[in-house]
Amino acid sequence: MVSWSDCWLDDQLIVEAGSIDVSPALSVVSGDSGIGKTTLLRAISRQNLSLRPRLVFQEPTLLPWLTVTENLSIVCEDIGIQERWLSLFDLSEVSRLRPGQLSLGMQRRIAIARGILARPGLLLLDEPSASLDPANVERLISNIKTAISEEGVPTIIVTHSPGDFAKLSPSYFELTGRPAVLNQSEI
Amino acid sequence: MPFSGTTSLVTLLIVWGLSSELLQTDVFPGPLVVFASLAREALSGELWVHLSATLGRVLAAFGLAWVVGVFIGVFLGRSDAMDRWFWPWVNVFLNMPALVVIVICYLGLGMTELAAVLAVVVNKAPLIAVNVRDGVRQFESRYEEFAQVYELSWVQKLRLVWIPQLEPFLFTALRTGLSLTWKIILVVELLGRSSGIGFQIHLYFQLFEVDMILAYALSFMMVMQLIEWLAVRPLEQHVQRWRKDGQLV
Repeated sequence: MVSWSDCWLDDQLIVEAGSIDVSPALSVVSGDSGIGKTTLLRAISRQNLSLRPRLVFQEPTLLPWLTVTENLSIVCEDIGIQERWLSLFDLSEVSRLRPGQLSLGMQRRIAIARGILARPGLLLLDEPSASLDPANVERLISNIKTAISEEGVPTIIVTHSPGDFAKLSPSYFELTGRPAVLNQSEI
Repeated sequence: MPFSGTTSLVTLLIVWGLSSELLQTDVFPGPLVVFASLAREALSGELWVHLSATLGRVLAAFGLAWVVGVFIGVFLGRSDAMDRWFWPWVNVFLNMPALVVIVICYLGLGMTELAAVLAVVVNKAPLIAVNVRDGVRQFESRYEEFAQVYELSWVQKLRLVWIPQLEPFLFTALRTGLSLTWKIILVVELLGRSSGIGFQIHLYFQLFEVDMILAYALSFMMVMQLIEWLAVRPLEQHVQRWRKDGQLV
């Protein structure tokens, strides 16, 4: 179970306090643009440190001056584990390239790999499928499925397109109202 | 060096030689006379004594100015409160004439090596601080957040997040600071040292030997250009190579 207190931004209550059961492997939180999905994810990340949360940002935030392998080494120095995950994500051939030489889709998948290599107790993905074409969304979902099945780490995804993740049979939640409240929902 | 650069320098030498021939005056010797004087001083060993004295002072003064400037720049860049308080101080030192600082240092500490180096540090550290402060203020918040979420150690943040973002600003400070430092060192030496290029220029000024003045000035200009070509530029290209990646996508 992860919980969070009221989320304020400039004296305005954005998301009300709440909690979410993360015992299912994957929870998907949807909501309209600007409702507070990313704010909620950041609050969960900051307020549940005992779970060792690792947030994968919408912008991949790979360090552009480092190669893919060097980016992964920040959180895991074991080359064997790195190679295994790059192979599982079908990214072995780009290990020596830098982020600027990769597509957005590849950068997202590497950022997810980095999140997993950091050995999280809770993985948080912020809009992982945003701005990707259908083929890249397919690859991404396949990678997330692999990550969940291999590591069994509870994962929360916030997205404005929850249908993208239907294949993964997640628990669905929706942020609604102003200030936003999280409720269980159906896709 | 690119072909266009070589051509440009050769053209400058030709223009210099022709102008000197046309003017036919002792105060404007041609390149052949100057290079002959330079070779004579180099063969006698005198050039190397003074060149190394000046180079030593430049490296010591600039190294110290660099450390002080980076420290102040990071300090001001990271804290708005400190920036509000101390930015006007930096501005005052930034606009203080080098000559005033040199004279005050010599008066306060005597005609010593310490005074000479300190004068340059006081004069140049603010310039480096301004560059570094601007760089720190432009740090991308997303990388800061990444470092926080992934619990990077202080050393990891420094090495992997902060220094790479500061590199363009550090190189600007290096290039402008180094070129200004050696010019100030010449004044420092001219006013109060008994060795160095500045001292030699002062000596030959009194003897009215313009070819020697130009020979010594030219020698150090060449050294600084060599430092730029052999050290600064290759290092910059190496650490900044990732910036070209966007063009490959």
